[in-house]
Amino acid sequence: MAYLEGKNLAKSFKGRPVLKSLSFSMEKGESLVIIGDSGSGKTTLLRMLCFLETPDQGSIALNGRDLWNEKMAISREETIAARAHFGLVFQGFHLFPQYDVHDNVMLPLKLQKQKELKAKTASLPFFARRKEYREAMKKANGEMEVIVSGLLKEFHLEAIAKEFPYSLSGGESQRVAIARALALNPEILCFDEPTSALDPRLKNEVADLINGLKRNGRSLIVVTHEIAFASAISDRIIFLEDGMIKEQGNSSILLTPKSEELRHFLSQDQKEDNDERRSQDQKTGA
Amino acid sequence: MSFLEVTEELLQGFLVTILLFALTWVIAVPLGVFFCRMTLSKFKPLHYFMQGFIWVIRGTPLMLQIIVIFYVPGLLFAWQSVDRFVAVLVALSINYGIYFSEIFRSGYESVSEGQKDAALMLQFSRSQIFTRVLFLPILKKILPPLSNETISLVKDTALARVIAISEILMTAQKIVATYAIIWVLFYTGVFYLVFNGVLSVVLKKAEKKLAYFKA
Repeated sequence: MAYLEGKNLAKSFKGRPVLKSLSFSMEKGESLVIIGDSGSGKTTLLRMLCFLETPDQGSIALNGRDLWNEKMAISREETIAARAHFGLVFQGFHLFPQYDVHDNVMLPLKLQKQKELKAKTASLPFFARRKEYREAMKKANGEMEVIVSGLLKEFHLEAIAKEFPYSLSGGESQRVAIARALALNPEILCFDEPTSALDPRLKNEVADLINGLKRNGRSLIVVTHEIAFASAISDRIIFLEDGMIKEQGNSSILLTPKSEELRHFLSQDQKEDNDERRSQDQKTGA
Repeated sequence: MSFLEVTEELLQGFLVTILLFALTWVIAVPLGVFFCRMTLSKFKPLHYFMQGFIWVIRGTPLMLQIIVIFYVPGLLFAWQSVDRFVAVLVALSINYGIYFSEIFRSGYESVSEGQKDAALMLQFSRSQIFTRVLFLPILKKILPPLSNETISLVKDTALARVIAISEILMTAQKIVATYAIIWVLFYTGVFYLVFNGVLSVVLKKAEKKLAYFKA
């Protein structure tokens, strides 16, 4: 039984099919990398897995239990519960601009705790409820602070804990976004084009970071169109073209592609890499 | 008429102006939020109704709206005429509610969908998304246009004179017409300038308070 399994997933937007009957699976602790050209449906697939989009058909199962299938009428609460299994680091990071780094990481924990305590104390009379809530929140603050400090330390963010998102570099924003996504300890951490806004040095840094998460046993799903990055972090690769899986397997498919589409995609990527290297050389005057 | 007497008269008119401004603002802001919610509704008939309503209110003079609200109910339904102050208050509130709603809508739409998605992924409830994530960035975006409209509202209260409400400008006009003294008009301008000056300082302070982040 696979850890995460998607079966016959399809999605259309305004009658235009974006994903056409995709099936795939991944094991716990693996990193699944989804590659493909722009518009191939990578991000839509990721958003569907994170329950930001509802598929039109198929099923998504985690640990053998359906989180969603086409016969289920999923309620808002069930969607929220299904989403809780996943964390997502967005391409544009989407840090909350009004909070500093510390509070960006703290906020999900705080609000989660508030929700829990409100539900727990709902049956109490007004004043008792307020007292109980305040005391429990005070106690929880210390525990949450420990988690946040741990995350800030793990991602080398302590020195910039009081900075606001507008003053952070791309690499720093990326690390804050990862720390924030991990605050609620999701079972699967997803990344949407994590290297798209970064220079080559930072790309290696992100690859190291993702490999570090992998070593800690975290299950990962990464969407990217960069082959070198994909091969550095993947256990399993899905190649998407025109909303369909054209090829999937371990990273060896990048060395010996079977389909014409993947061969073409890889040669395009190679060409882009060469162009990028040439322009870097010109800039540095080498 | 002495300076002190003029000041006393103008102050009485100015109290009406301030009362009209304050009540309108207090009503128009929540009304604007309500209109904005209706405009953003996914229920198409409601959305189109609001589009039409906005077109009418923005496309006709505020003075006409005051006159219609004051006279039409009485003429059409033979009701007792609406209280003058209430009629102006209703007209100003609806008019400014519509303008505010458009400001709120543009502010809401300017906050990236990504922020909402990020909050959804972090398990925030709908009310938490609005209060903890969207509210401040929206407020930061809408504060400058909202300040402009607020200052316009102070000046537009002068239109109340069209149905004979003795706000400051009408009071001044009566003094000028009765005693043939011109300086009263300039003196009236000073009242507006001082009040709008104070408002501008307060609103600028609010803008500065939100300058610590970039939305």
